[in-house]
Amino acid sequence: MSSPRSRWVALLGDLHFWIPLGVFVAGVALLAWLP
Amino acid sequence: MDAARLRRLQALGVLSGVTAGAWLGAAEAPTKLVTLGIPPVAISFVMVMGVFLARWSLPALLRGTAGVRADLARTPHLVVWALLAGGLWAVANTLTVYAIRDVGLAIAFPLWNANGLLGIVWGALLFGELRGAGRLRWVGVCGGALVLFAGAVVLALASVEEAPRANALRGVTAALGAGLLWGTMYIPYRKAYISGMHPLSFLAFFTIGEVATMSTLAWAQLGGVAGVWSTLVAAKGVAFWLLLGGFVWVIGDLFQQYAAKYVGIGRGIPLSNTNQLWGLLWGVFVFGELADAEAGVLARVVAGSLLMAAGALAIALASAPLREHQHWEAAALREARRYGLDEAWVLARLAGHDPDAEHATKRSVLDWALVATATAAFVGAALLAEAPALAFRTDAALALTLASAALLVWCALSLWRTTRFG
Repeated sequence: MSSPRSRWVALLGDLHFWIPLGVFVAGVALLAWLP
Repeated sequence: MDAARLRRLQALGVLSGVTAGAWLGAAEAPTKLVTLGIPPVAISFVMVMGVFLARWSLPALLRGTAGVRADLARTPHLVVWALLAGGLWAVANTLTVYAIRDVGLAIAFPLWNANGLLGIVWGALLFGELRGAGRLRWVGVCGGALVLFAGAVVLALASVEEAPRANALRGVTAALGAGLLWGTMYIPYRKAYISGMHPLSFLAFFTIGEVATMSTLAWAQLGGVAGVWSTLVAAKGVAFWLLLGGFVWVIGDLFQQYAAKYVGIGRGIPLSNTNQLWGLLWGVFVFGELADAEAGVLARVVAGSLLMAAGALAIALASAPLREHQHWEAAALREARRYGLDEAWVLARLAGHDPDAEHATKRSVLDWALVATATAAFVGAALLAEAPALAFRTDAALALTLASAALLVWCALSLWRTTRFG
């Protein structure tokens, strides 16, 4: 099993993380724009 | 994995997707009983409370929270994806409220239901779905999803006759935004299941993300803690129906998780999007919608329903061959190497086996406390419940409930026999 640190480093380089996070942020921004 | 096992799992995934559609559609029924005057965010918030209670008590009953702890020890990084998925769901659900307000359900529903098409794209781009599947299966899945989408459009246009609304651009943007968020939410689903996480464990953390995000939105829109509390007190008469809606929704969503696991998000999500068909059945036969509809409207309803059924059948028949499944296994092994997971454990979980099954048979005091708390909350809400303001046909409601229950029993037995709910 990899070390905890390497696991979280791998997460930060994972497109499967950044795509949903980016869409979530965009969704929150859209909600803020909708009166 | 041998071909026979793969065929069984594929059939199981298809059955799970269809069952998910039935229960996700039925979840709309209790919310229809809610009278007007309650802020939409409050409706969503109470329903999410029902979802939270169900997502912790059902796993405690079926598998025990020891199983959740075992999964957490093996794949702690997946908690991030589960929380993200819950947050995406909550924001998308809130966007649908604005979409319905601005353009109406007829326009909004098919737009956000396009999330199934996005699921196919993410599945193919990120997880090896449809790779090596052959042209016929590509046509079956993509064509089936497009036919399903066309049926959804026809059904939606026939279901609601509404005058043009102002702020159409805003409403369409909100509906498409909901579709984008829900469609992208399936990335964490697939990520979790090719990494070996158990669906019940994924949902346990998913709901924390849901509640946290929904609570933040409710706090922001209803005027802080005091505003949320006063809204909840005002809604106490209908809380039971909303909690029930949330509970029914969780059952449907659980089957959707199994569909995503065993046939992938490219097939599983479009199949569970047949919830629109079931929602229509509840609306027409139980709540008398379209009772005075013209022949033309009814013809569109029948045509839309047949299109949706045809699309779902095309997808159901386009099961993944061994060659495609090898690409799924390759994607799973990539995750195992990236995150230092036991490769044999990951592949076993993907094949529907549960190497940690010994943890699943133990029930602790915590498990029974969770079940007792959820039961008490439902009983308490039921004691405060007001009789629904809408008239509905109990014979039709009973028939649809029995049909949904029959699907549940069939699918649950199949899941138990084939995977022990793994």
